[in-house]
Amino acid sequence: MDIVFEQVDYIYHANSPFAQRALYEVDLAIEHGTFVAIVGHTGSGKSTLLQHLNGLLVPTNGKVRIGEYTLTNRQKQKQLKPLRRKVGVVFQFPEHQLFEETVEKDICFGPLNFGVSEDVAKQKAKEALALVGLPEQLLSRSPFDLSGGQMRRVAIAGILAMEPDVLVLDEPTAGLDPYGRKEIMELFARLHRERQLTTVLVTHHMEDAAKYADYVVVMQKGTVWKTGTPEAIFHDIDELQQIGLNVPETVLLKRKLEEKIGREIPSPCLTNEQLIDGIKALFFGGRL
Amino acid sequence: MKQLVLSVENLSFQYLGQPNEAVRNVTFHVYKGDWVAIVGHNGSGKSTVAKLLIGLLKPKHGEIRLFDTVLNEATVWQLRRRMGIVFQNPDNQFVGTTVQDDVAFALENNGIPREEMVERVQAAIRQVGMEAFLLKEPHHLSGGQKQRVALAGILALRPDLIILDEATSMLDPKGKQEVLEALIDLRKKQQMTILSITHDLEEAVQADKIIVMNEGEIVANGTPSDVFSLGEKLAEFRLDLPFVMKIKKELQQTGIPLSVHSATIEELVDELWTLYLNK
Repeated sequence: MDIVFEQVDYIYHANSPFAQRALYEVDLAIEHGTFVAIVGHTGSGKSTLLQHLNGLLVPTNGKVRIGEYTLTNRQKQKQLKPLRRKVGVVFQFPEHQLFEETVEKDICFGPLNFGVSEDVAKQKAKEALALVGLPEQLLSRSPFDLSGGQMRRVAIAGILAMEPDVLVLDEPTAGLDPYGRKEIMELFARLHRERQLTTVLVTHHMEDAAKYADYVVVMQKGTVWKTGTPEAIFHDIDELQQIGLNVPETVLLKRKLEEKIGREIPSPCLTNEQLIDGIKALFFGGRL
Repeated sequence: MKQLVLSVENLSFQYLGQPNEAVRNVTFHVYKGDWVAIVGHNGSGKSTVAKLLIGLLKPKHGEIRLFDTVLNEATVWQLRRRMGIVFQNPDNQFVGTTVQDDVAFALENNGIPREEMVERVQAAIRQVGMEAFLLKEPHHLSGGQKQRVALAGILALRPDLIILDEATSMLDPKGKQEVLEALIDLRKKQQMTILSITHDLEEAVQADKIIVMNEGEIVANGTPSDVFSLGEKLAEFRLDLPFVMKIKKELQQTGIPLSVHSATIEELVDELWTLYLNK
C-alpha cells in the first residue's frame, strides 16, 4: 500500500485556547514495499505523524492516502476498522498493552476483533509466536510471568497475527539492551523482506536508520525537513547536527579520518563492516 | 577519605515462584560525589537492585545503608526522602497538570515553604533545559521531554543520592547528552552522588566506577577502562563494547597495529593517521 501525505497539518485541540500545532505542510510519499526510517529531534512531530498512518489521528488540514483509504478531517471513526487491519502499529513499550490471561489469548485478541474464527485465530497466534522467535510452550503462560524482552515479542506477535501490509514501528527497541535491540531489528528486517511489507520505523538510532532503511525522512519542528537515501541524508554532517541530530558514528569516524589524512574513503560507511572495509582499503589498497 | 553514602552488603532477593534468586550476594559501596554505574543486560538483576534500594522490594538477605541508617520498614519513608529515583518510563511518574506543578509535587509533600519551592522548581527545570515548558501539560510532551521533567522533580528535592534506572534509555542523542551534562554539572558543583543503572556502555563511560551484573551477581567491578579491557568477556554478559573499542578491535584483527589507548573517535583517528603516515 502506497502512503501519501498531502499538505497535512495537525493541531492538537484545534479551535481551543490550548491549540498546539504539531505538524504543518507535511508532504510525503512512501512507495509500497519500502523500508522508511523517520528520524528527528524529540518533539519534531515523528510520533504525531505516525499516528496518522492508521487513523488514530486524522489531519486537521490536508489528506493522507494509505492504499485505497483517504483520511481527512471529516473521517468517521468506524470507517477506519479495515484500515487498521492493514496497518499494524507497534507502539513504544508495546508490552504495556498486554492484558489477557494467556499469551495465546492476547495474541488472538486482534484477529478475533477483525472477525476471524477462534480456530483460525489460534493458528495465527501459533505462527506469530514462532515468527518472533518464542517457543510454543509459552502460549499457555501468563504474559506477565515473562521477561521484559519476551513480553515485547509477545506484543509484537499480537500485531503480526493480524497480518498487516504496513508495519509501523515507534521506537520498537527502546529500553532493550544492545543484543535485544539487534535481535528485534533483525526480526523486522526479515519480516519486511519475507512478507514484502511496507515498514515505517521511527527511531533515535541513526545506526539503525542507516543499516535498515531504504529511505530516511528527517522531521524538524513539525514538518518534513529532508528525505533521501541514508547515504545522501548522512552525507551532510554539519547540517544534521545543526538541527540536533547525529549521524551514525561510523560516518563521523570516516569524516574525521578523511579530514586528517586528506584522502577520501570511497564508501558511505553506513555500517561497521563498510567502515572496516573502507579503512582496510586505505591501508592495504584494493577495491572497496 | 570520602564519605560513604550508600553501602549494600550481601544483598539477595528472589521473586515469588521463581527458581533462582534475581539478585545474589551483591555488595558494593557508593561514596559522596561519585558516579557509579551498574550495567547489565535486560534481566541481569540490575533493576531489581534499584527496587531494593528504595524499599519497593524487601531483600531476602543482606543490608542496605544510606549513611548510618539501615533501610527497613521503620526508616523507608525517611530514606526515600533522601534518595531520588528516576525510572525508565516517565509516564508512570507524572502527577501534576503542568510541568511546574509536577516538579513541585514532592516539595509540597515535604512541606517546603512556597518561596523556596518556587525557586527550587525553577532552578531544577532550568537544569534540565525545560524552562520553555513550565506551563505545558506533561502528557503533551514527547518521551525525552517527559524524562527531563521527571529528573527535574528529583533535582528539586536535592537528595543525597540520585538513582537513575535506565532513565536515559528513551531519550534522543541530544536529549540524552543534555541530561548527562546536567548530571555531570550537578556532581561537580553540588557534589551530587549518582547511581545509574543502564545497559548503555556509552553512558557508563561517564561514571567513576562500573559494576557489571549478570544473572543476579556482580561479575566485574572497576573503572571504565578496567571494565572495557574485558573485551570478549563483555559479550558473554550480553553487553556490547562501546563503538570505538569495537572498531579498534576489528581493525586490529585485520593487521592494523593499533594500541590499547585510544578511547574516543578523535584519539582513534589520530592513531590511524600516524600509522597511515608511517606505513
